[in-house]
Amino acid sequence: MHTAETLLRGSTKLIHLFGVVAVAIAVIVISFSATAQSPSPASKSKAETTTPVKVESLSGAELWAMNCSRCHMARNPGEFTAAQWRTILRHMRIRANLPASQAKELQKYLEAGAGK
Amino acid sequence: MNRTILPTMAALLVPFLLSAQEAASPPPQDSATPPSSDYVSRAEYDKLKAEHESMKKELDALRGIVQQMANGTMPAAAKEAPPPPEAPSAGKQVVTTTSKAVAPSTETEAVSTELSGPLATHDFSIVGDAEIQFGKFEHQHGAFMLSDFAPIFLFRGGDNILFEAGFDFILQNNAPGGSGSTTTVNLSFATLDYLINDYMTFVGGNMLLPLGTYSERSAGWLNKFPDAPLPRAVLPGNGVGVQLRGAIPIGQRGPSLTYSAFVSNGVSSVDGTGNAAQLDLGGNVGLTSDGRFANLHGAAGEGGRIAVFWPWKPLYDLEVGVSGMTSPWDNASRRRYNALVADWALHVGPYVEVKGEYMNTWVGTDDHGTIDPDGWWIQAGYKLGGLKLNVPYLDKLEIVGRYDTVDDGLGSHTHRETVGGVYYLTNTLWLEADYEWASNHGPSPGPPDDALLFQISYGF
Repeated sequence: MHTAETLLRGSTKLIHLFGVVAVAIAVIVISFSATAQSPSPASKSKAETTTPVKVESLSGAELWAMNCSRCHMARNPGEFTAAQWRTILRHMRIRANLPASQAKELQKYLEAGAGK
Repeated sequence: MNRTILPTMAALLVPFLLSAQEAASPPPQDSATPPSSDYVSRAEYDKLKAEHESMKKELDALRGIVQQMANGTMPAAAKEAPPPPEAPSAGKQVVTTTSKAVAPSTETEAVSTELSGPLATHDFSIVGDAEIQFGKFEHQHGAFMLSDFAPIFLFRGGDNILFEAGFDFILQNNAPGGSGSTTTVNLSFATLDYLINDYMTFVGGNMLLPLGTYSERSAGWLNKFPDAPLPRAVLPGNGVGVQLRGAIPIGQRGPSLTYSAFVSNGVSSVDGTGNAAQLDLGGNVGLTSDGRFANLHGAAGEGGRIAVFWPWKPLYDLEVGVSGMTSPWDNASRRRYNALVADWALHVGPYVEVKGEYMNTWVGTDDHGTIDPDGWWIQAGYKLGGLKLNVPYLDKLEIVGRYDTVDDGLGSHTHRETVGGVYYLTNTLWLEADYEWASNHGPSPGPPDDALLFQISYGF
């Protein structure tokens, strides 16, 4: 019994720790977002003097194959209208935790081939 | 089939031919630099190499898609060319091909795809799934036993809001001795979502809890088996509360870190006591039957999930996540329910998928001390199209297998083996057939020893 109670207390602490980590991530994300939206003068001057390294981002077609097939058969872009894709993509961005940049690129690809 | 595939393949290859032509043509001469000799500079070489690598990766991705299209397990890519961003002006010739639909994007996020004005303020859509099931269990008559219609209503409000609600309409016989049948309508989830920024979304309402991945990915046309893994019974599927969730991209080649953190009313007790048999994982929605609003115990539940999704190229990826929850569950808030879940999913090309979950829970009780219901499941699928047999019907068949086991913490243990197949009539219409062998030990009743299940699943 003593071991079981110790185990229960230990698992509770572990899950609380998990919650603290999750909240910390949330705080970091908010901070990162705020920083990204309003760069400081120092960062601006640094950006001006540093040559950016361009990394080729994924195309909408690649993101379509990469993300949609994780959980289900990918849907043909022509199956929905552009307006429907905007709604469905928002649903999938939240449900599948898609990064916003990828969701926007996917949206462009799907809307480009959307049904009428 | 060929009539569909050949034009599509041709359309998909157009951007590569155009890209190759561009790559083959000499670069424009800069007036400030001397004419080039027969040798290329390092910068030119690096540029061509980068373009070559990029095209190779995209070609690999498209090969996978085309192969699936050929097998009928993935829909054809957009056949229509994307509309030009602006109406062509008079006198200008506009050549529109499918290249924009598949070519790597070099545009920046400055191009907004959101409409503006009254037309963009809201939109209503319905998606979802429907299933028809036939089952034959050991020592029982076979029956059409499930007719499930599960629509998801989506309402997009403005640029940042989405309301989503999922329902399950199920028909079942009335109790023995009673005539007729009863239709039940279950609210699977109903949430108001607000996109706070690119990295965080607020979700509030009746939520599917992010404990593992199954609860959020279990619709009939997502799950390759007609029934749920046994150990999901030790976890709550829903909770009423609020959640923050989002994703942080790791680089620009697809990997991402995802997170979810929630606070909910938590789990509860049927009769309010802390006796083990009274644990109610699905209750505590905040509105009691006597009309009062209340959490059934004195504190909220909390939890979340952190995961890494790591694709190394399209259709090849690994996702690993860990999630957990803690909540008091008896009315006196003296007993706690804790859960930890690990989940993983691996895709090796378009044909192989392996995924599973391990869950362990610790439940403090009045009558049994701390019990630890736990379990795990793993499933694998292989699409026979990967064998390149070019047999029309076999190429659309996926062989699946699953092992799941659960221990209720009170002396009952059940394990089950399932083998079956999924036949893809289309990308959203499946025929599923499975045979299950279950073995149950202990006082609690388990599933039937043998079961034969057929299901038609449709996603819309």
